[in-house]
Amino acid sequence: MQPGKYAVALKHVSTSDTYIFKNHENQIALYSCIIGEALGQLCSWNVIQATDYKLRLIGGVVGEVILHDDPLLGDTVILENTIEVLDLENNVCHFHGTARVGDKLILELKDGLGPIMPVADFGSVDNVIKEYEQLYRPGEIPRIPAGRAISKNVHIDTAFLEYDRIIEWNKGESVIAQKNIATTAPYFHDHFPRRPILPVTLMIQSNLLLAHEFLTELLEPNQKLKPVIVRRVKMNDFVPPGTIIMTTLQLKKREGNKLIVTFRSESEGKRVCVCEAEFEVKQI
Amino acid sequence: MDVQSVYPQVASIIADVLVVDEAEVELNKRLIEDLGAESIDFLDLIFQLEKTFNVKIPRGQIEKDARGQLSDAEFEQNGVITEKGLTALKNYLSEIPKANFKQGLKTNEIPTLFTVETMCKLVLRAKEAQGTEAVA
Repeated sequence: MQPGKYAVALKHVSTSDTYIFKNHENQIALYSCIIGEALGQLCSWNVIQATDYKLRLIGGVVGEVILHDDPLLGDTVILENTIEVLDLENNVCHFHGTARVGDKLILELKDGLGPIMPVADFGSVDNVIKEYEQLYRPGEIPRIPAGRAISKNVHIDTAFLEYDRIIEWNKGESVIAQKNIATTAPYFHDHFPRRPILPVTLMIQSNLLLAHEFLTELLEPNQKLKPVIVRRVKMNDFVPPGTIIMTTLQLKKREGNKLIVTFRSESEGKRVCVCEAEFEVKQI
Repeated sequence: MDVQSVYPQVASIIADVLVVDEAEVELNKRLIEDLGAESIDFLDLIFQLEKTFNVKIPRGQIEKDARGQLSDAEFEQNGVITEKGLTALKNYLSEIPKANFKQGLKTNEIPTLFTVETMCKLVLRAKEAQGTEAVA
């Protein structure tokens, strides 16, 4: 870690992970948005170190996330984060990052931009110090031998990421869906202890799941979908437990094997999140 | 360069950032009241303007420039803009109707005044400042 500039970290994908699923090739994988979240958290740790536990990054805007491949069960993901601008006068951080498994690129995050806010607003500073001491283990990146991932007896339960209700479904055009952000959702205890808010990355993951269902209707039986790019992400407001979110998904463009959809999520009529996603149609 | 020379690109960025139809974006539209901008949108907007026009726009630049030679105390007291401060703001933000500058305006309310034209002028000033720096 070079505080305020650069950081590298590892994320091991294990059966203990909450956010695992079976991907389009029937492999057990970690949702890519969690890798995006890990990159954002790495940047936040870097800001915390650069400001001596006073300030942290809060997710706001992301220009583009390229989803190259799914990190699979047993993989060790190497996260690399570079801060382009850490403006402590105006409390803004601009960063980018990559995630790899060995030499294989898994995800690229470009133009991350977020406000810098007091650590103490979100949790106990003492706990943050303890957590950092547990996480910070400088050294060489270990070489992990290749192997075959276990595919049986792995508990997958990510139903809480799905939308709860469809309000309108216009095939090939648009969808309006409702998601209730439950107080019992598993991410609130650490995001954040003092001020629980929905992570933008999980909002995006829920949107991708909804889009997958919506777009699958447009495919031929021998075709499958893969999300490849998420862009123009913006979280306008904090979403606390108990919020009801209404999202409008629209098919923006269909060109060759690419399908592009836009999302606009609102709570009580107020915009809380917008983004765009591009899917690739693959022949089976 | 004048406002019209940057307006099409600025309007397109504003529409994109605020997720509104480009037809809704007009020079005299207020970013917050008319187009629904919020604080995170300003962060995004400035970043997009900087990237598109290849300029640097320091945060708080409008307030800093509007103050001119006025000291902090002359410009605002306890977060409320003084009479002198309000006059300086009116002169600097000449594109905004005078009636919008209310007595008792707070410093954190200055962005409520900003219009699409304010953003165009911000870009033009940043380009000008950059040109001056390059010459120096």
